[in-house]
Amino acid sequence: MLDLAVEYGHLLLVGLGRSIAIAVLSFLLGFAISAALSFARFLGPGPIRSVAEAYIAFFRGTPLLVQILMLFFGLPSLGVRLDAFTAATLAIGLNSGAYQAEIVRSTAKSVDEEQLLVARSLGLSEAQVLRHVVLPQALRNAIPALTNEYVMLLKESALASVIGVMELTRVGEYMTAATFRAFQAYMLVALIYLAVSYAFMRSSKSLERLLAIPGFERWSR
Amino acid sequence: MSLLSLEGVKAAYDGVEVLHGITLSLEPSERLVIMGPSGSGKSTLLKVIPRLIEPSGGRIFFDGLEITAIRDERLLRRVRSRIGYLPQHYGLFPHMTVLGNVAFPLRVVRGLPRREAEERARRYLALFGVDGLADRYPTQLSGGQRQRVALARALAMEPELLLLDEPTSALDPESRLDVLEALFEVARMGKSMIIVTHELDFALEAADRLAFMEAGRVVAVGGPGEVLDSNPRIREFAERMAGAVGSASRS
Repeated sequence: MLDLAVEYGHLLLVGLGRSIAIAVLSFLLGFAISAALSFARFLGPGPIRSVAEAYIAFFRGTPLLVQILMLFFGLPSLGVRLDAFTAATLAIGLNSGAYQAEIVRSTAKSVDEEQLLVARSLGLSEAQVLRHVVLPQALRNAIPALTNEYVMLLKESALASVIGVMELTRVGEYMTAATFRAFQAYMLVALIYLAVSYAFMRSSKSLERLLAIPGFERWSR
Repeated sequence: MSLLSLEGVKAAYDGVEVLHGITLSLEPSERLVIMGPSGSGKSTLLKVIPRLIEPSGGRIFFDGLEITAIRDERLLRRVRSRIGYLPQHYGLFPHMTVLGNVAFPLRVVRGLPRREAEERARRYLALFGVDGLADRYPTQLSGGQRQRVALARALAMEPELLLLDEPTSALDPESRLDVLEALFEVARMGKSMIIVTHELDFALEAADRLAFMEAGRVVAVGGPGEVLDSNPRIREFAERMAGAVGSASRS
């Protein structure tokens, strides 16, 4: 396996770089979308809320692979042609937006009712309550779940190989085709995913500690 | 003119009516204590006044303005900011320091510049002896300290009316005395307030009137001594509750 790593080292690095790029970009896109969805859900009038709920239901209720195929093969028929990397990143980001919105919703619920009552009684608007009271707490509480989401995205980025993006999994396919050593090639790829996810999960613990609210022991542990 | 008046105010949760037409009024600088068994609608009554819960019927007037008729969000928020409200468990924002908790609404709602807001916040914290805790976070404080910070936050907004929901009932005996002392201090300031409490001493010494609630209705209202004297059943309840919360303050 080591000889594979040496021989294809350059390609593996390029593939890994692309996998991470897909994960990071789709995470950021998803984060922006989840912010929009959350504001729509919490503050929007009825019809806007319904649109947000429908968006979330659609992206959570259909396979990510189908969503990627739709964007890559479906959009050209509407006159929009995206390259494989863009289509995959966009699809994964749109999908992640729905999941991140669900994360924010569940942590927003953890902010206790009395704080909301007091905030309103002080004369804050609903938008101010959301911005100054709910979100600062909800986002901190969401760090573990969002870390998890990011690791999911890194793994889901493997689906981009289906439409030909030369990311890490695709490099595994390439190595297999060239050497017929499928098990070793994919094991090598799997270990690289593992190393990156593990390093990320470790560093997110530091982020949690950094952003912890003093006195909240479960965060400073 | 009354500072606050309620005319046949009703409230319901999921279609179940919990306030059956409350009629009450409060004069400026008046202190009204509300007592009653749990589930009698005391907390709901407090929340309905600034429309933190929408009343299902009746009318509420504050300083000549019919709160229940306000349709404009902005105006409602302005009226709310003139009425301080303290829930039973303080409702402090855990992600802000003590100073931040008090100064933040002054900046965001009152529009004070940071320095001025913090100065005023410190002044009110000092009033209740918690200015030394300005840089701490709420979870690092005892219950009594939290309640005093919450009191400082409400008062720093300089509201014309203060609504307090059982401010001492979640506290240990020592904290309870600290908060009780703070409440007497607020009473000395001549602040108009409605306070739901079982603190008999506070009712007898600091309140102008006592209202007794039962099953969503005010069944007796008047001078505290007079209500207790004319209703043996209420007196018995009040004394039993006072016994339950501790008698340390009677000495």
